[in-house]
Amino acid sequence: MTQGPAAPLSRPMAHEHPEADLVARLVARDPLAFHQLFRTHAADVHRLALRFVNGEAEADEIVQEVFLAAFRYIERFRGHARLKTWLYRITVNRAFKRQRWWRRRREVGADALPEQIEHQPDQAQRVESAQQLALVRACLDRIESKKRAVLVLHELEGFDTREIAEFLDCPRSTVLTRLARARADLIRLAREAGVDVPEDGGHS
Amino acid sequence: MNAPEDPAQGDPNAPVARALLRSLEQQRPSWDRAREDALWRRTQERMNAEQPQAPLRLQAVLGIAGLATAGALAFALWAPVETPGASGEAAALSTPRVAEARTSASISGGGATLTFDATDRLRLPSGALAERTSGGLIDVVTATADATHLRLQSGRVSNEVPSLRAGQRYEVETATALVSVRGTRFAVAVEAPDHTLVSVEHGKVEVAPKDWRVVTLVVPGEQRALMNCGPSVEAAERSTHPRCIAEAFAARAAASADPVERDTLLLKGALAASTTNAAEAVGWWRRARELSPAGIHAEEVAFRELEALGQAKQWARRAERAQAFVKDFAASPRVSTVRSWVVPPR
Repeated sequence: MTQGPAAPLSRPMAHEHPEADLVARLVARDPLAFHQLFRTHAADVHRLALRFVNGEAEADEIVQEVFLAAFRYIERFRGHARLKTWLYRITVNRAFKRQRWWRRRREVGADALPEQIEHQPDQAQRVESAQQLALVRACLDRIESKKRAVLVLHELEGFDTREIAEFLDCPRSTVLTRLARARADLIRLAREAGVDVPEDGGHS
Repeated sequence: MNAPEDPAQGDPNAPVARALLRSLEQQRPSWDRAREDALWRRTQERMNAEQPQAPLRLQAVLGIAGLATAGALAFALWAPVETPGASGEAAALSTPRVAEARTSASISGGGATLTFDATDRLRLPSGALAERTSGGLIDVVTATADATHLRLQSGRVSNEVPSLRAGQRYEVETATALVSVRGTRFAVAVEAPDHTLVSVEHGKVEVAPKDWRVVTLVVPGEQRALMNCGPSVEAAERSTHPRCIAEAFAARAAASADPVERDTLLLKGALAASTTNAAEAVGWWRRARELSPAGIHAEEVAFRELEALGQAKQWARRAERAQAFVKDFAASPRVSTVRSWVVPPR
C-alpha cells in the first residue's frame, strides 16, 4: 500500500486497518489517492458489474458511479471491511438499482442492450455455443435480483458466503437460502428455455 | 474458486447449476489500460463537477474570458468585411470583389486554381467569405451570386456564408466529401489526401461523403472527420479505427428496418466514435438521439451526449440538454447526476 501523508480521519476507523493510510488520504480528498483506488479496483468492479448488467457500456457506467459514490461517501467508510468489499457492495447496489429501473421502463430493455462494442467475427462453429450461452445468460437475468446476486457472487466471482453476507448486509443463513433457491430457479428456467441441462453437473 | 465451507454440500442442484454457469464463468470483459484511462477521465470529470476545485474555477473564468475574446474576434472578422454589391445579381467569377486580400490573389474563370497566402480572404460573389488558414489549394468550380462550389485539394478553408435564399447554394468539395451549407460559419480541412475534417462554428452544414457513409448534419461545436475507411461497410468493419467502426455502425443503422436493431447500432456507433475526440463524439451522440428520440436506448444516448458535451466543455449546451434529460427521464437513476449539470459551471 502506498504510504501517504497522515491526514486525520474524520471518523474513527477499525484499529490498525491495513488500508488506513489510503483511507485517510481519500477522506482528505487527495486526487492521487482516488486515482490509486480506481487503478487498484476498477477492473474488478467492471467485471463484477458485467455479471449483473448487459453490455460493456453499462458496466462502464457502473464503474463511474461506484467510484463517484466512493468519492461522495468515503467518510461513511468505517474500516470494518476492506475497501474492495465496500466497493463491491456499492457495485451490487448500483447494478440492482439499474436493473429495477430498466424493468420498470420496459420489458425488452435489458435484453436488447448491446453486448460489446468490439466486432465479433462470424464464426459458424461458435454460433451454437453462443446461443446456449445467451440462453443461460437470459435465464440468469430472469432470476430475482437478490437470489441472482448471491449465485453470481458465489459461483462466478468465487466469494464465500460470509463475504457475500457482508456485501449484501444480511445474515449468512439468508445467503445460503438464496443460493439454494437461485440454483433451483436457474435449472428450472434453463429447462423451460430448452437449454441442454446436464443431469449431474458434468460437462454438457 | 469456491468457498472452503462449501455451501454446495447437500444441495443436489449445485453441480448442475455450476455446469450451466461454466460458460459464463469463462467470459472475460475487455479491460485494458486505454479503457481504464478513459473511464478514469470520465469519473474524474464527474468528481470535479461535484466538488469544483480552485484550478477548475480558474479554468472556468479563463473560459469565459476566452469566449468573450473569441466573440469579439469573430465580430471583428465579420463586421468590417464589405458586403458584395451584386446581391442577387449573377456576378461572374471573373468579377468577384476580393475583400481584404493581402496578396495578389487572382481569379480567372470557373475551374481556375486559386492559391491563397496564409492571411488571404476572398469575398465571393454570393457574399460569402472564404479564408485559407493553413496553406493549400482551392479550385473554384463555380462562383456566382447564387452558387458557390469550391474544391479543396489541400489545406483548410474557413467559410462565412450569409443566410442564403431559396435556390442559392454554397458547397465545398474534397476528395472524400461534399459539404453543403445554408448560412453558416464553418471550416473544411484536408488533413491528408483521404482525410477531411469539417468543423462548424455557426449554422448547420450537411456533410455528404462520396462513398457508402451516411450523410449527416453538423452543428456548431461539432466536427465530422472523414478518413479512409475502405471502399465498403464490410471493409470499415474490419478496421481497427474507432472512427471507421462508428461509420460502419451508422451505415448499418441507416439500412436497418428493425427499430431495435437500428437503435442498438446507433448506440454502438456513437460509443465507438466517443473514443475519437470530444467535438466528434458530441455530434455522434446528438445524431443518435435525434434519429431515435424514443428508442430503447434513448436514456443511455441522452446521458452519453451530456458526458460528451462536458468533455467538449460545451457547458451551455450541456445545461440545456440536462434540462431536457431531467424532464424526459425523470425516473432515471442518473437524474441526480444530471441535475447537477443543469446549471453551467461558473
